[in-house]
Amino acid sequence: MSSVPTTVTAPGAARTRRPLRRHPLGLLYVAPFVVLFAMFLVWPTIYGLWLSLTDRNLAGVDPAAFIGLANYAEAFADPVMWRSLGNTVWFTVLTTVPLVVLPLAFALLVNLKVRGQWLWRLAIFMPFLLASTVVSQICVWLLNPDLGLINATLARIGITGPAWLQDPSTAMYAVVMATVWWTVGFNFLLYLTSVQAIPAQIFEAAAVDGASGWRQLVSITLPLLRRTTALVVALQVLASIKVFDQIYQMTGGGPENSTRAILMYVYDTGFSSYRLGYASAISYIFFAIVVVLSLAQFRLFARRSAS
Amino acid sequence: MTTLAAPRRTAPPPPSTRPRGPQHSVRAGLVAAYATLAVVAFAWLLPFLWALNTSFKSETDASALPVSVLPEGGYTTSAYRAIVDAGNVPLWMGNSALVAVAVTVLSLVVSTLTAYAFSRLDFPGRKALYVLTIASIMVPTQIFIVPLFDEMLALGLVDTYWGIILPQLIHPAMIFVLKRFFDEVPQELEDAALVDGASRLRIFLGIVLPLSRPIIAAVAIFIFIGAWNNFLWPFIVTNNPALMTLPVGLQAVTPGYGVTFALKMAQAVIAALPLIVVFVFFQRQIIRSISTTGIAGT
Amino acid sequence: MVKRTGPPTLDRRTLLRAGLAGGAGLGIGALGACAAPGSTTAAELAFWHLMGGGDGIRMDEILHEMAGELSGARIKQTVLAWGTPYYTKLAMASAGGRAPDLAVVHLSRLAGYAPGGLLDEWDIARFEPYGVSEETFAAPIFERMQVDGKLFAISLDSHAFVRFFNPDVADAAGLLDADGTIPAASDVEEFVDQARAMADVTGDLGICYGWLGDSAHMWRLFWTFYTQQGATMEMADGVFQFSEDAFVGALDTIIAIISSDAANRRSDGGFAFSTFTSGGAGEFLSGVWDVPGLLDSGVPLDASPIPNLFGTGLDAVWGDSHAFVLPHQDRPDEDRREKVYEAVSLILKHSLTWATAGHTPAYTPITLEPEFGGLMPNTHYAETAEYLHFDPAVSFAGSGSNWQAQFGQAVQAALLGTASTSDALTSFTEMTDDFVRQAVI
Repeated sequence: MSSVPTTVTAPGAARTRRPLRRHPLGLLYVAPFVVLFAMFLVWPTIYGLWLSLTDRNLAGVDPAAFIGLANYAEAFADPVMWRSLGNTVWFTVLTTVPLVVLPLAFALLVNLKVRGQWLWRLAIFMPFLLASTVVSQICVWLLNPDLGLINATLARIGITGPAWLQDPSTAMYAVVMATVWWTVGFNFLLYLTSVQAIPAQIFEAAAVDGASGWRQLVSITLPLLRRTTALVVALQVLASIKVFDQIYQMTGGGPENSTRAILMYVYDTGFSSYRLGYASAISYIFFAIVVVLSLAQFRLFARRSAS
Repeated sequence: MTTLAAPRRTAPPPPSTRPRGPQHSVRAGLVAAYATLAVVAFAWLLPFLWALNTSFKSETDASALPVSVLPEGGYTTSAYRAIVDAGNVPLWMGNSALVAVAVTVLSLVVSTLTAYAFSRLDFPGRKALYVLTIASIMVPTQIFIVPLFDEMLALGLVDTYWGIILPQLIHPAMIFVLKRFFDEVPQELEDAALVDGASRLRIFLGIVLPLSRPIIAAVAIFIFIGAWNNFLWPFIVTNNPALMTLPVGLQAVTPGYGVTFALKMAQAVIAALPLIVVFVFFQRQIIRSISTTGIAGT
Repeated sequence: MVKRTGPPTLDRRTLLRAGLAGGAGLGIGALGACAAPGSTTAAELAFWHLMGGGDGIRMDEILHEMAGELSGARIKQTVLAWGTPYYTKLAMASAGGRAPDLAVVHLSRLAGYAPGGLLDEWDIARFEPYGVSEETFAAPIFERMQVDGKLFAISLDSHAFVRFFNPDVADAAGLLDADGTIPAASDVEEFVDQARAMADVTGDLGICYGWLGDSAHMWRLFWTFYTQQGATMEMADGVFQFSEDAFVGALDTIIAIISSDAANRRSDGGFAFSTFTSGGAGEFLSGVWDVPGLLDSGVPLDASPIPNLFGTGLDAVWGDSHAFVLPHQDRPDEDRREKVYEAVSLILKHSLTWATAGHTPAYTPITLEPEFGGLMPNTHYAETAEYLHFDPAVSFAGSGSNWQAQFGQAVQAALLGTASTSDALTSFTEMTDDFVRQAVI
């Protein structure tokens, strides 16, 4: 059973299984999924490619005309597209580091035979249960330049806090802070599960050998958590690269495009500027990047598993 | 078959077996751990508590300077009353419930059938479909919102419940989780039933599904939370506020007028409450669900 | 710079004879132009608008007042978030074939919205039986209601950006003339001095203006000062033309005001509003739609036009107009449409209530009524209706447009003092180039 401690033993390890039964009716079992998969995943992917070669627009100005690679040429020369891509990469880097380090630290702390487990888990995990809109509205309120709790607290100790979300030099960091607060609980749970799956005997043996807590952490715990870390990083990169909600809701991509993520730019060009064709071209450039990233991660994983 | 319960840590050895030295450091370490955890927990709960505190202030007090915890004019429920009077939030909550339940139930039907077929049955095109399904785990579907919306225009599904629900029924990662579980179900049980002349479907419904209750619950919780909180697709496909789910409505529709800090926080609190209450009561199951399904990505 | 293939924008416009429904991409028309599902019956007209705040409350009042007069139909209104999100949603709904029966847009947005089939035309003749005609609108407004000679909008009001002030504070500061007005400052130094005098009275701020994070609000004051210099923005031969000097001049003027010791440099809408209503400031620069909220707060209230601070002698302020449009429907039900005509004319006739939200009604019979002359502080800025300046008449501009949002992003750092006005000018030019290049219409 591939239950919780999958991270310790490699999942998908070869099992001896008897051959499957020939069962053409199996098609009926997968039919609903195949239809949905074809209609709402495969077809948009194919249709999007065609769309990206046209000048189709939402406002119904002129019927869509085939324009070849003009959208792609325009996109590659579009500074806002590059800015959005750069922002997306920057956001991914800024979020992935704390969203790996913090949940690991929290999980190790909670694992130290402390009491009140449910309270720590509740506090750290609760924000993850909130909808993005709720998170954004709360954070916008906390970050209000004069009336917000954060700057009011800073003012108490004599510091004038920045206009977090209105200042291009701080807006991205503010969104990252909100994101960390919101989603750290998910990675925390993954780590906690893995940490708790490590047999206690290992540590007892180490303790008998006189290894200090720090030594145990460095030479036993962290190596055993390597797979989980790889997984958390992979999931986090995939989650961060497609960021939309909290940026759209907190800053709308501003100030000065400093927080505009690539998916937001797709939304803006496609729906607010009515350019479905151009937006599809940007989607496809984004798609290519994600595929390359996924393949790279896949290779890394494959090599890890092999070693 | 193992259960899904997180493994229990074995009890620590009695302290007397340890030399005296480390014990001091252990105790100091524990104090430090508690202190750190307390700070973290406070920091993590504070935004929500502050929102709660603001939501019970009058707008005047909410925007008063200097910022203070206690409102000068006393606490009031006026923000909550305004929300109830406006009537939008209960409507959106109903929409969220409808969409989340529909997505969860239908996704489970679709995903369990597919996962079972992948696990047990050999049908034409099985391998290709499986590879495609697994590959799609790595691709965020959000990339194709524009062609998907255009397709929905053509199908006439913009501003309909089906338009919100249908694209949310594809869960390749959950199919993978379920398949791995079904792989572990002993085939002997099914063989015996087959000999007795039971149909495949009967075996699936009567034997495999009941045995899979824990994993199905875990997957259901995971899908439900995702559907309840989903923002981007519902936001794109609904323009009519009467059809909006809660996260979308809060973003798209303007509450009240003038200064609306308390009002917005009251909305946020109301929107957050259902899942928080559920979490407090079903913490174990939800945590188990997230750990099980979250780790399935590998 | 990559050239778009296909004919240039201006020629494209002439090609737009027939409005094409969205869904053309697949050659399948949107199914059923019925109204929103599950929320409208045959007698229920779906009406979308973007008026929050006091506007929303007054609109609600009007709809209640006229409920009995509209026979055989009921209006169901929904209020969506103001600005780009609203226009995005309206376009998506129109393309999706489930558009509402009636919607409100800003007249400044019409140029970018009407061509292309997102809107259906009004037939002014059908209004005759209900007492609405071309003659019931001021000529310049009726002009703005049309695009390429077709009537796409029915204007409800005009609304401007003004100076609200607290007469008690102004009086204590020794600023009031015998007729209760503040003498018009002739330049920004004098304007700031007046604010300082009020700050001495309040012991807090003299003037507040809540612009932070609000592109539309930055634009309104900017456009007021920009047009006071006699400058324009327009498309000529496919090039966007504007005055760089006037651009910088307008920004410098705003900065001089908000960076003075009589103001808070970082104030957002909520902060400015609550500072003024709690007596913490003597004057408040905002739109006339704040009138109801200001009156409700009980703060002593008066208003005046924003004076020309450039010595050009031009009366000019930012302004716009809310107008009714018919979002495109493939097969409109003529009986419902008739009810829409009737409903719009009823709202126009009830626009005295609308005037209490601060706006000046566009339906002229109302403005001639004595009750309208008695509205305060409306009468003290009613003159602005004659010289307000709409946003540039280019397809990507207008209230709540993405261009406006980007404008805010371009100038915000300069207003905050973390960048120079020439940086703002550079960002504005770059981002406008993008819009010119990408304009669909």
